[in-house]
Amino acid sequence: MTESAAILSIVLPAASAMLGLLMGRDWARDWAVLGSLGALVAAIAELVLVGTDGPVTAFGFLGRAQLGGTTIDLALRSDQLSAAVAVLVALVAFCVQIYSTAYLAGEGTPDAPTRYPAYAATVSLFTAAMMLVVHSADLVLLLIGWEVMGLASYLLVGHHSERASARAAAAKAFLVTRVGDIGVVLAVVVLIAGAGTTSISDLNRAATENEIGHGTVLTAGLLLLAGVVGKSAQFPLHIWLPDAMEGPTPVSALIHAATMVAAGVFLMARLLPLYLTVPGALQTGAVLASISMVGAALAALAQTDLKRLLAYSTISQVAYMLGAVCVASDRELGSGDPTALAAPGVLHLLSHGAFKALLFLAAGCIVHIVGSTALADMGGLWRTHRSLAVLFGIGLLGLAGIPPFGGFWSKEAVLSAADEAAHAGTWVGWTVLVAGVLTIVLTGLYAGRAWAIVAMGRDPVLPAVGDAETEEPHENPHGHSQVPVAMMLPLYLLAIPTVAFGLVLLTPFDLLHGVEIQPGTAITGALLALSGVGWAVSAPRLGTPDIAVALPVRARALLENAFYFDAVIRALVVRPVLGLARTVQMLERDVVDAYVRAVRPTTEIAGTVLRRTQTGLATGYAVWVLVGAVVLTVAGMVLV
Amino acid sequence: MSGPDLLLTALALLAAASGLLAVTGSRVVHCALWLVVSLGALAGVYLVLGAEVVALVQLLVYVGAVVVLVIFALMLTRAPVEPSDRLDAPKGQKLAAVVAGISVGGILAGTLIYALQDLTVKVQGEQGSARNIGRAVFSGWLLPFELLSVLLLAALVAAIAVSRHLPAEKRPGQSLTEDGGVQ
Amino acid sequence: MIHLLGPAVLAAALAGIGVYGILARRNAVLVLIGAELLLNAANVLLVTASALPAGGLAGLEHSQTYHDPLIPGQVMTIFVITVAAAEIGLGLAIVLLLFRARGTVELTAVRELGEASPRHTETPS
Repeated sequence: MTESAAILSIVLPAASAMLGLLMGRDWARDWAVLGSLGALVAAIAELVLVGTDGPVTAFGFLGRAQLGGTTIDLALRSDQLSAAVAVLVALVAFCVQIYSTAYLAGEGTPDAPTRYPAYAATVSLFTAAMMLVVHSADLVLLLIGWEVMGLASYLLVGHHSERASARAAAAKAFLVTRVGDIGVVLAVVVLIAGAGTTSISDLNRAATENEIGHGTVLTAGLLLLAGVVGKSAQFPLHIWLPDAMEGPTPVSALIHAATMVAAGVFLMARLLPLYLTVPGALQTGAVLASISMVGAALAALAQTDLKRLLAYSTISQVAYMLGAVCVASDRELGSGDPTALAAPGVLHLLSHGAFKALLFLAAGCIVHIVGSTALADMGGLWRTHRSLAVLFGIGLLGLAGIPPFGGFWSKEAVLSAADEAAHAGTWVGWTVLVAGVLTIVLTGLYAGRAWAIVAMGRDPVLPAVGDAETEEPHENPHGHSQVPVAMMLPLYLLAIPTVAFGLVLLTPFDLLHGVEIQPGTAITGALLALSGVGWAVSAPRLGTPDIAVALPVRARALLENAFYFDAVIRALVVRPVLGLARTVQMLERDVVDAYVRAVRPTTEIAGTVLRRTQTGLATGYAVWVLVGAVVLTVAGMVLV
Repeated sequence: MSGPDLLLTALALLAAASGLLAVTGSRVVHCALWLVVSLGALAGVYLVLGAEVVALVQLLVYVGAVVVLVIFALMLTRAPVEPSDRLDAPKGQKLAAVVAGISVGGILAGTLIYALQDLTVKVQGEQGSARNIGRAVFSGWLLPFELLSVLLLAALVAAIAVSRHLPAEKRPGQSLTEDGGVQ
Repeated sequence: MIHLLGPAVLAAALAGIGVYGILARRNAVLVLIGAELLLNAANVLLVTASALPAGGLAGLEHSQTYHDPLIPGQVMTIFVITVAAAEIGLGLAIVLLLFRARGTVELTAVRELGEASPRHTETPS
């Protein structure tokens, strides 16, 4: 039963993608929604069955692959970790599919076609790939899903391929994540060579029992970490995520909440027993997570674009998860099961998935109304669209970690884990703890800022003196006053887990029994978050809704451009690569091709020289004949 | 050195010298005449070597017929009697000819000297007599002999056919003078 | 007893002279004279060889007196002279034809085979 549910959760979205493409435009919508609904039902069933029947470690899916001397069992596994993440993925995918039917309704204009069937099929494929990653019992199978996700994200980010910026963003996302993916491929190679197996459970067990060489594990761990950093958009491979905002907003919700960025953290949690034997890899991850956490939060503070603000918040929040997993080696092994050490990270993964999907879908509605993603064009949502404002607010509260919303519980669990590690006396714990506490304040600030600008600010289109008209929804030439029901419904659906996420902690879930929330850090964190939000929200009373204005201009520019890291990458990576490419091109054109081109002048010169011998004199030719005879004779006499 | 050796050497020197004059001379008719001397000396060489029939044939056919033919040809082509500098090829080709001639002669001489060294043989005069040659030609060499007669006939017919008339359409006409041809 | 080295060296010298005559002459008749000398070089060598007993140089050790009744050296010489007569007849006929066509017997005037010819064209008209 568990096996069937797991397989269905993978196969249904994949099948709906294929059927949606094959059966034409009229059916695309039905297949997409049905497929994701089926996956959601299957995932919930799987979660329930895993709870009652216990986990299934491995069951066949695609048979076995024989790679030389190594047999790779392309099997699936199902436990609470995979089932819980699968439910999140299916829920977000379902919401996104419903939302997309309205968001990308119609044919669009010839300049900007919606291309809905291809879009819906790609989203379904994306979902199926993430499900495959979640359920894989083998790294090779996981890698397949991992790569399909990379492809799907490329297609979806570049969905509006008529825009040059979308194409550039898609290429950037593809290339940057590819840098990390190479790490995963190499890690698989290293593990096959060093451990002889790619089965996740075998690897975890063998690493724990010191059957694999330490060097192999460390190499593979660091290479996998590169893939995690790429997929989860952590420093220094985070640069693709803000640009990926060029994709349709529901795609952003999918990428940021459920798939793609979550895959990296999931992989870390899955392989935690292996990672626990190599603390160096975890410490590296913790440092990168701390940098991403604070840096992205600071960048989010000064963004002028709502979607980019949310993108940087994703980097920051995913860094929480990664940090929580990475401090595991410094914590006491509370329960025997090392996976429990990853529980805070997984918990934040789940809660973040819910509130970030809510935020992005709400942001999509706001963009739908305003017709622009720039924060400067927004304002007064509270007065014009109260219910949407409330839902957006719930998402922001979850993001900021205000109790009792979802983000609070998971974030405090992360901080408690870091605190525990810090009390164990290691610098890694302290780094993550300090960064985490700092980021709570920053998160509160930018969440409050977003709220102050979007919901409280004045409607920028209408003058402030028009007191009577502000109550009415105005007609924007680019936007729409009404939000379709299909776009509002997923918001309500996602608001439920955001609000009530704390109830999860009351359930007797094995997965979460490593989670402890210490009152000290919890109260401190909540107060800090509240103060941050309060400060930002009170900004309109001081004259402007945007607290970023309070920053010095140069600092604001620095933060808005995310510390000019793109420029750094351009200088350190892009320029040398392009230079190398030009060098290779020059070598190809001026050296290799020169030989080819030289054929013509060489032939010409040879022909010019040789035609001089064609005098037409019969006796002249006879000279050659006799000279040849003499040469042959002499050669014969010398040689024989 | 015996008497035949001396005679042979003298005739050989005469033949070689007159042959050289025949190919280097600047008067066409003199060249043809030097050829007569050279061929006649060769007939003497054959005689010393005991090939009396060959020597006679040499005199009859070569000196009597071939050279006469050559002289007729010279007459028919209005060869100049006075010395001419247009008999030889350009300088470069002449140099190549010298190199080729010396190479061919040198290689042959070297090979033959290496093979014969100071070999001496007794002249077998009787084998070159008309009786023996006639017996050999009309017994063992009959078929080649008949074939040769056919060849000779064909050559004569061809020579007549070639020189009898010039096909009208092959006549180059006015372009002759452009080529610097002799009027 | 005579030395065979003399006629052999004579043959080599005539061959060299003949080659020079063929290559260095411009007048077609003189070229034919060079060819005659080359043919005679071969004849001298044939007659010289006929002075050897049967079997040639290898037969010297066995017998000084045994003769080949077919006398190949001398008969061959007679054949060569015949061929030379045919050759000179035909060759001079061609020379005469050339003279009648071009008004000259200089071989440098006959350059249709080469690109240097002023009348040369890539495609025959």
